[in-house]
Amino acid sequence: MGNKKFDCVVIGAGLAGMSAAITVAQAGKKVLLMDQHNLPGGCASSFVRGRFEFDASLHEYCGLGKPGDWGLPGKIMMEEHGLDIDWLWIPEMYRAIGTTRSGKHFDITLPTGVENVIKKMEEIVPGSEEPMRTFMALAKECVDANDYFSQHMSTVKKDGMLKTDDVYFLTHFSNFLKVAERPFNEVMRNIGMPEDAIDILDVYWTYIGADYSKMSFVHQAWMFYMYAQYEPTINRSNAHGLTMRIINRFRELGGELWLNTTALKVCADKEGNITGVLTDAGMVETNYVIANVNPEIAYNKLLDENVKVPEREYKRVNAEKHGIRFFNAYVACNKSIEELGIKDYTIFMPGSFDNAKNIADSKSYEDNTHSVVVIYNVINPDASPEGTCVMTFTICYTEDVWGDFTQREYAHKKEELFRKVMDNFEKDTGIIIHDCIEEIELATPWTFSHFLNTPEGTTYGYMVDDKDTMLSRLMAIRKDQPIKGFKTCGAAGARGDGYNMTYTNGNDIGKIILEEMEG
Amino acid sequence: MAKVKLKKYGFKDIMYFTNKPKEREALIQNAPSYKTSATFKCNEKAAERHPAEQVFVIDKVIERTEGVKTYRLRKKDGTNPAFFRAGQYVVVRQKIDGKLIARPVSISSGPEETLNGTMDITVKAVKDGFLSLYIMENWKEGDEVVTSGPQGVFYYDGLRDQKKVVACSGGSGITPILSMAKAIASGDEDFSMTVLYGSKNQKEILFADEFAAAIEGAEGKVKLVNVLSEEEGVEGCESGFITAELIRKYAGDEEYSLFASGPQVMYEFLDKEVEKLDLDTRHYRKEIFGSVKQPWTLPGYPAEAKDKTFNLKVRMCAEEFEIPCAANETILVALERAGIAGPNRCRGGICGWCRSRLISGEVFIPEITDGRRGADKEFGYIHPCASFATSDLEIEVPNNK
Repeated sequence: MGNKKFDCVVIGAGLAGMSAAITVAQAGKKVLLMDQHNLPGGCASSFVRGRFEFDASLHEYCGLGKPGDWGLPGKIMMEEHGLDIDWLWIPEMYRAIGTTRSGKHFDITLPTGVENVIKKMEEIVPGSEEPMRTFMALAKECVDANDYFSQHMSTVKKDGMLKTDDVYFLTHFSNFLKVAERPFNEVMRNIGMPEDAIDILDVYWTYIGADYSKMSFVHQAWMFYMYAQYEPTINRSNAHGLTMRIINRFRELGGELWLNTTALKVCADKEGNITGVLTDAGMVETNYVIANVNPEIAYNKLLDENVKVPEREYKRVNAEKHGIRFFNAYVACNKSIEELGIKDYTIFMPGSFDNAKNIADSKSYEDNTHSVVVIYNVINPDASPEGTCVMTFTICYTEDVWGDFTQREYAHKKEELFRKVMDNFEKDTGIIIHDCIEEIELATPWTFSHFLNTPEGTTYGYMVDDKDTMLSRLMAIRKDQPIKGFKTCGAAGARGDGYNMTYTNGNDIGKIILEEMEG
Repeated sequence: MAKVKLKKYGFKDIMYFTNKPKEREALIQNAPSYKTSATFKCNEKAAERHPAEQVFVIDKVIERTEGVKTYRLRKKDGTNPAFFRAGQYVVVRQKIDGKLIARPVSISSGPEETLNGTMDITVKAVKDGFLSLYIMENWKEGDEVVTSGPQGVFYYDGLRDQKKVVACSGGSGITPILSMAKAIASGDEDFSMTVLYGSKNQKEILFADEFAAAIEGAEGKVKLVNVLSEEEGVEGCESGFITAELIRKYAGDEEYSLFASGPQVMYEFLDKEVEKLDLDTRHYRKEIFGSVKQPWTLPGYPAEAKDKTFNLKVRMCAEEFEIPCAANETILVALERAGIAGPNRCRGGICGWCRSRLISGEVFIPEITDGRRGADKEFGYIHPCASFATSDLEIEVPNNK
């Protein structure tokens, strides 16, 4: 029999769980990482159909940075955790095809490089150069402020919120303080951004799903700047390859991984001190548990009754709104990108660039055909066998639209939707794929609910809006984790969604649990 | 700090910033404090579609021919069986002598029948077929049977396949094709299908009545041609094997997809025939091959390993086992015999459910059933259902909850 006693148990081997596990293991602790599935990774996974392997979810990694100049997530993965990953940088932000609220039709491609983006925007929408300069300067300040903030998260005030160095922020990041929490579109207008340009900047919506007339400036600004400055990134051996490299590192640090293992209860003694985790592979002793689990599932199902969950935590999870969920079409064509005339990695095809309209449409099945496609072979020649290519189309929903379908109509609804999406794609780009599809798999919120077990099949945790902002969550990162010896991490955590954010959040939570261990 | 002049923002906006966390806190404090027990439509539908397990009671046993029986199943809890795509299978999980044995079994009913509470599976007794022989001898009406949810990707996809399908089938491989015919008749699938069904003789033809009913219901969309290999001159039947020539004859001028479902020898024969047809690879689709029976006949197999029995060290979570593993059986079969097999489904190397880590030792993996992910090959993971030990091994397997 092997050992069943660990310094720390991490439940859920998603990106945040894996990152937390490495962070704790790196401090010399004995860590057990477990996952309900027979392979680790959560969303960071892949699947095989015929001669193709599809990346389940990595469309583009934001904010990694470059060797020697890593962004915050890159710094954690590459320097702190010492991962060995073959990144590929995408030298283009995106192509977008659609009509702005003014009725103008655009088919534009934004390059990377801050100066290039500014010049390009001026070319597309004359008069946007100056406001673009202001935007990028403010965005840069947001990135710096965010980095500084992230590196100073250990002092807590009486009310449980993080203590920030107000004087430092006032002298270094006063613009950040003024605009960070203002709604994105409002800030754009106030710095004189032309309306067509605002629409074009809002096009990233399909991947965000938030209301840009409410969502904080810092959210979009950080992302836009990181993409422009550091380029979007993917990994040569897809998301599962990324996961295997993370797991490999975790094992090097002495970590143990149990798969197909479900945590049934996080157990505690009568005083509420965490004593272990009951799993379907037996009881495991530990005093510290990190759960890469949605907090409402953790509080309602995972924690044993001896653990006193503060009332505020129930209130908190009841106050949160479930975030967005996706329809994904994984398509393999038996023609190469050259044969098909494909040049762009990311193409947004929202039809309309009107953010308000897109949000309204995202609450219905019929009206929502606003898609984005990524075509892996443009950047990664190894993405599929020679003479073929693989791509993923994505549609975002803000409500449980798919929950209404019957079992019988479900498959038809998937096919019908993708026919519309493919038709739009072919009309918008002139690229014809319907006659060369060799493998195709359509995933809906049902699929994500099945594999991830998240409420409504959401993949992004909780929705951000004008009150529940990313910064407010981050300020409360410790206050929102009041149970000694038990913490949650993941997309429903303080930093929100995305590979970069969940990985960083896992690192934050790993450090917090280490502090508790040290007393 | 950026040198930016923000005309419309002043110091009071800093207050706006500092107030945000307070606004969030107010939102939290105003929310109800009850323990949520919310259920979500999407999650419920997904759980119905993809149940981890279905517990059935045998409603009826239907004898087809010598050694072939259909078991009509109803859910024990009275709910409907999971809806499926015609062509899918379920994994039967049966305890024999205290050891859990699992095998994929095709569904021979149509998806519509699940809405009336039933699902049929058809089992053929195979020589040395451990589970099929057990089922034949033991399963009777009223018995409890446990299966997985519907699995597999051998089904029609209108986005990929041609509107016309020529289905080549042999023996009991007809079951997924019958299910497709029924799905066309019930309107759950929309394509036309000509079935070339190979049997030795008329007596061995399965499901003649059920096919007739499906053909009638499908209103011209389904045709059936029996191809007899050991009987000649039977009216309405072809004789011989399913050749390229025969496929061409029944395909006609339309473009078509070729679906194949049958024993391994049929695929080997058909692969060569298909080469003669001018068929795009994407339009030739086969049901799971199953596990290779004689790995030593394949190129690359280390001849000295044949007939040997190796020592298999197995780590499973906190436990460790040492079991024997014969060269002529898959590693999964060795685990099953020892009563420690974990999750598995397709038994043909494709689905990846039994994915395990090879810690040390050598294995032989036939290329035809190597459905591993790229990074798994790189990091030494194997699918035990399609891997053969060629030395003593140490592996780490998923929990067998």
